[in-house]
Amino acid sequence: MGDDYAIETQNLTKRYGRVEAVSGLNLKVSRHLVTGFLGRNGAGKSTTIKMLLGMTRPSAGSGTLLGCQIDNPKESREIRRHVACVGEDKELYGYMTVEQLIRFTASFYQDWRPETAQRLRDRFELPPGRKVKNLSKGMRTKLALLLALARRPELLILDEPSEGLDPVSIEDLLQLLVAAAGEGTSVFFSSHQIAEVERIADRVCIIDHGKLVADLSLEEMRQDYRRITLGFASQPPGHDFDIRGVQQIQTNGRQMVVFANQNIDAIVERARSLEAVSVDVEAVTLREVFLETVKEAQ
Amino acid sequence: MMLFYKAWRESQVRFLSAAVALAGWCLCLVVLFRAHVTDQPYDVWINTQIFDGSGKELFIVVIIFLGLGGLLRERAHHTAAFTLALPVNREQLIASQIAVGLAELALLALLPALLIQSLSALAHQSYPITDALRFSLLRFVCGAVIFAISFFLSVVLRGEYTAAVGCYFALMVDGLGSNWLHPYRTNLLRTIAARWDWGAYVPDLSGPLPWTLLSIIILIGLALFAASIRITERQNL
Repeated sequence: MGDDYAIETQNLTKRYGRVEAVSGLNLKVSRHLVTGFLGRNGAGKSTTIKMLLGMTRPSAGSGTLLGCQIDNPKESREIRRHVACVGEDKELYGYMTVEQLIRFTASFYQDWRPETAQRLRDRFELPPGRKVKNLSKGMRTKLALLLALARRPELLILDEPSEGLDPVSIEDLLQLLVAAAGEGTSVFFSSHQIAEVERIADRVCIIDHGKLVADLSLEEMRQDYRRITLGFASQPPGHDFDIRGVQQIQTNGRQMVVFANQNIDAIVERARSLEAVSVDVEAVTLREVFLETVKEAQ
Repeated sequence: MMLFYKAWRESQVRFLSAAVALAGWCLCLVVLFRAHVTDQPYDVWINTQIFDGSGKELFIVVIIFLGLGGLLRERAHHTAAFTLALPVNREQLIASQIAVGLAELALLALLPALLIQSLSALAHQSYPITDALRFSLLRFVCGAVIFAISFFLSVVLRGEYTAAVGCYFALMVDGLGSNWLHPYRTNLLRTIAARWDWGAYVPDLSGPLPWTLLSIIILIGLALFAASIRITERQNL
């Protein structure tokens, strides 16, 4: 399947009455990478994923998955041959046993890998004869992952995959996602757990109020984003920091914290020229970038 | 093929419960209750109690519940995301539910006809198989419309049993409306029991079946199925 991006949306919008759950979203998710999709509750993550998967029709705008239009029924079916998803609910057919559900799902995919399914079933210790409704939420998530990964999908979309999992299972999950990406699968997952995203994602897209507010590479973030804490003998001169690279400035008494993503040396130089008594430059975490981005968007 | 399997597994409990309920009620009426009735010929008793009356009411109720399906129901059970991620069209999903439901309906329509033959022998009675099969045909045709109404309502209405209640009301409205407007032949509750005429209080299988009416009923059912598929194709879940 063609196209440079695994996921691409143009002005994707979803309205529920007067409420715009997703508002002109322009998203570009590169292939063969792990991309985290961050946002607060109600930011529009799940609605976006539902539109991408054809569960909900966009009110406006368009989107492609692996080059196929999401709102074209024929192409949507093609998308589902190549895209695996683990939804927010992670509910599966409770009336089937684990084995029955694996056989049921396998019948829809020509590229199903029984050996992978078997390996994951053993690794996750999923009892084949147990009814799905009798599995714990964690076990159901693992089964959903098994069903998604045994197909070797080109793109794997997960909505809050670690929700309800214990720490050991989360670790397992993260390793699986990294391994899937290593085998060429593009992974796109939404999460509230910033630490998880920071651990495995190559890129991060941040959504707020239905709009994309940041799209950054974690490598670039680690290299470029800095928190510069400045101490002044008197009231800090805020307006003098209106220079390239400054993302946000917070002033607290005689202390000023500048968040910047480039031009760090020039900012430090400017601080010294303004007679800052202390200058501390530190790398920032994804959590800080997320919080600052979301605050700024408000 | 696996979609039919899915549809069967989803309706299995409802279908088996319906079969047990219908069989149990036939057994009670023929073997237990009939012994206390002496003023009515056996075939009239079967016609009025199993193919009309309480037997008919029970059949209608189980068909209403058998008709519950659609993606809103899957959404309520939180399985819609998994189902919609499968590489199949929505119409295929719905069509498989309808096909399996109609097959189950056919079996349920046939069940009393078959059971009565053996139960009658137990009670040292006999009932004409041709009459029983004609009632089965009426039950299948009218049952298909009841199934279609219930299915259609469960496609458009949220709530576990909202569609069932809605379907029951729809049948009541049909019954009252057809009495009032006088085209009583469109009254499903009378047609299913072979009570063709306004004054008829007992089933009448003496003449030929009203094929035109039955064809119209089938067309109404097909229209409801088509509408259900069309709506599901465009539904936000």
